[in-house]
Amino acid sequence: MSHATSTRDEVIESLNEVSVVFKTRRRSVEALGKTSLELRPRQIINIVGESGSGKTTLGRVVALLQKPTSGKVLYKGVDPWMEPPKRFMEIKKKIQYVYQDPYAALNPVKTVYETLASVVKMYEKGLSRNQVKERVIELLELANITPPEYFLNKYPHHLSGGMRQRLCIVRAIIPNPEVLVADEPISMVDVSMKASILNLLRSLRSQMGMNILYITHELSSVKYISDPQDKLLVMYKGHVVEEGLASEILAKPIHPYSKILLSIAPSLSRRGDDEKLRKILLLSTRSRIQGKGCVFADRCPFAIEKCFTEPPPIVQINHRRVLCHRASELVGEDVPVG
Amino acid sequence: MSEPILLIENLTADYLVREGLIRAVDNVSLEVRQGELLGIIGESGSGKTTLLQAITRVGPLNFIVRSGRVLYRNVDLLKLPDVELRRLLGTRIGFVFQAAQNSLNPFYRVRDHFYETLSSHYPDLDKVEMENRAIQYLELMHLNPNVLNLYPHQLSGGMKQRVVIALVLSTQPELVLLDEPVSALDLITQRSIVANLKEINTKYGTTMVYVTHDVESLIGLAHRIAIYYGGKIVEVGSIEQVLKDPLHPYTKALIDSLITTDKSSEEVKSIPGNPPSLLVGHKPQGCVFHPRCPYVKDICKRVEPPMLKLGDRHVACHLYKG
Repeated sequence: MSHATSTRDEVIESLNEVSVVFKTRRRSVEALGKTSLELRPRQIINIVGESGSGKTTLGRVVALLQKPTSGKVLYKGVDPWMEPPKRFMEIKKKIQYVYQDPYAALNPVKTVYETLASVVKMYEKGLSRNQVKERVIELLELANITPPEYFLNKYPHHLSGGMRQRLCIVRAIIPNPEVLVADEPISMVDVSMKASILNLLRSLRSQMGMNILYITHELSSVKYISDPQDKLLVMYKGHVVEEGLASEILAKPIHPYSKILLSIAPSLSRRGDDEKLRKILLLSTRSRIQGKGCVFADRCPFAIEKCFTEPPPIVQINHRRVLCHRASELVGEDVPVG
Repeated sequence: MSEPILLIENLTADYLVREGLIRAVDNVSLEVRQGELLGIIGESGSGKTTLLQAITRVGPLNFIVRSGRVLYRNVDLLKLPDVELRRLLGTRIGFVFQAAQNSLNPFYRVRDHFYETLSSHYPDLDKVEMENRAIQYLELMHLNPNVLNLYPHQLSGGMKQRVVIALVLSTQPELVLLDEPVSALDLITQRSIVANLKEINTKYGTTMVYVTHDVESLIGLAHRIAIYYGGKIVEVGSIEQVLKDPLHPYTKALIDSLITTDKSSEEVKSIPGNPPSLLVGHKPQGCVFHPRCPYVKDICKRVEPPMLKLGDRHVACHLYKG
């Protein structure tokens, strides 16, 4: 298994003020508003948000599946979108994407062996039949689909959801990518299998030095997958509302949206019968048409008049960037359930 | 909260497939008490949806309820003629199906859905009464009455699910069966809908049976939970007791596998092995969990553990003596 050769400080890929606007006949929707990001080896970047937050669009921009409307994507200093098609495809192979639904991502009439072997043959030319088989077995062991010999001739429907997703992940690493975009890899998998998928992603980072863009709506899984130096971006309606070290945001979120997300994140010590929290959750089901103010204002328990009329500034607090008018006042503030 | 409103005794149900019989409900006994919110927790493929289908005899064509009794207020639903069962299901017992938000008719406004549902179960109501009742239940689900004029595509996923629940509640059932009612929705939406259901359960005493794969989502909401594994109930107890001090090794493993913010990474453990096959003849002998159980003894491989009563809790495991 060859290893990524980049050193720790080298930026593999960067996004500079990237926006994506989808246009329909009647209106245009800004799915991603001016977002910047730097991806380095051996790093997990967590993206947290609800549906419609733009987290998948961000993942697709990183994986070169979506061309930005404005802003620049650079892969090792070059703009892939300006490169000739052949070179573009070569770069694209270095950034692999794992989809949410492991039930849809595998061909139901191909065995486990065929699924992996066809990709191995495509990328590692000139291997003998035995070498291909060895490589497939090695991949299955990495995915903890054991004993590998037993599963070689099984079809996807014989595998549990967790196994399928791990199979999808090891299939994605065959081209030896430097970046792996994992888009909600655990959301469709049983509770008891989730940890096994996150463990695999963690070992890819530590063993192969891969950068992993981990997209999720489950904040608790961010804590599980992250090391102290890994980053977290909290997204809401196409905007990064809070950005910083995952460990710091999880310990003390500043943006009101991050605070709410953390207060409802899965926890065995959570008190689900909290009357006041329930009120906030109901508040959050209101929906109002936005003016030019903060995208979160209509759901925000801390909103003041200014939030509805003026776009919020990016406030820098230590290592953290928070998109909020009241960011500096809200440090250490709890969700006002009082 | 004392009387059982629903008493399930030795219920067994199969699917007929090419490979044989899939026994998704295997000799299950359970009581649902008047006014409680009972959670049934099981992973995918455990047969938890089938259990609800067997209770109501609503299922696909290859679905057979083999044996047992389902007593609703001392009436055996399994013996009831279809016509009477249907009358009961529309009015006394409500059923919210999985992914029910997709069951709204795209050509019907929300108003028309209420007209259709209410007029078929309550033919005496006129349009004004139906509309008033619709508004009442939409408000109960924290929806604005102007939703009545909207088509399903104009609603968000969470709003659709609220509409479906309001529709079911508008027939004024005293028992509501909910099959994964909030899966495929955002966490904030999930939490607020579940809180909403709890509010209705508390205020109106509506009994609810809530089937889900996610035990954590019922913290503070369910009174009791039943843990379902391999077509069987392995443990029943109050949610606080079960989470704090799980008795069955599967329950313990399930709680250990939860990824939560109050656990460190080292404390989370996947359950080794795979869920059991429910195919008759391939199902593990003895205890259905024994191939994955860290405490497995010889007897577990041979003898199926009976359901033991320990105080207010029930567990089916050879580690315990009744």
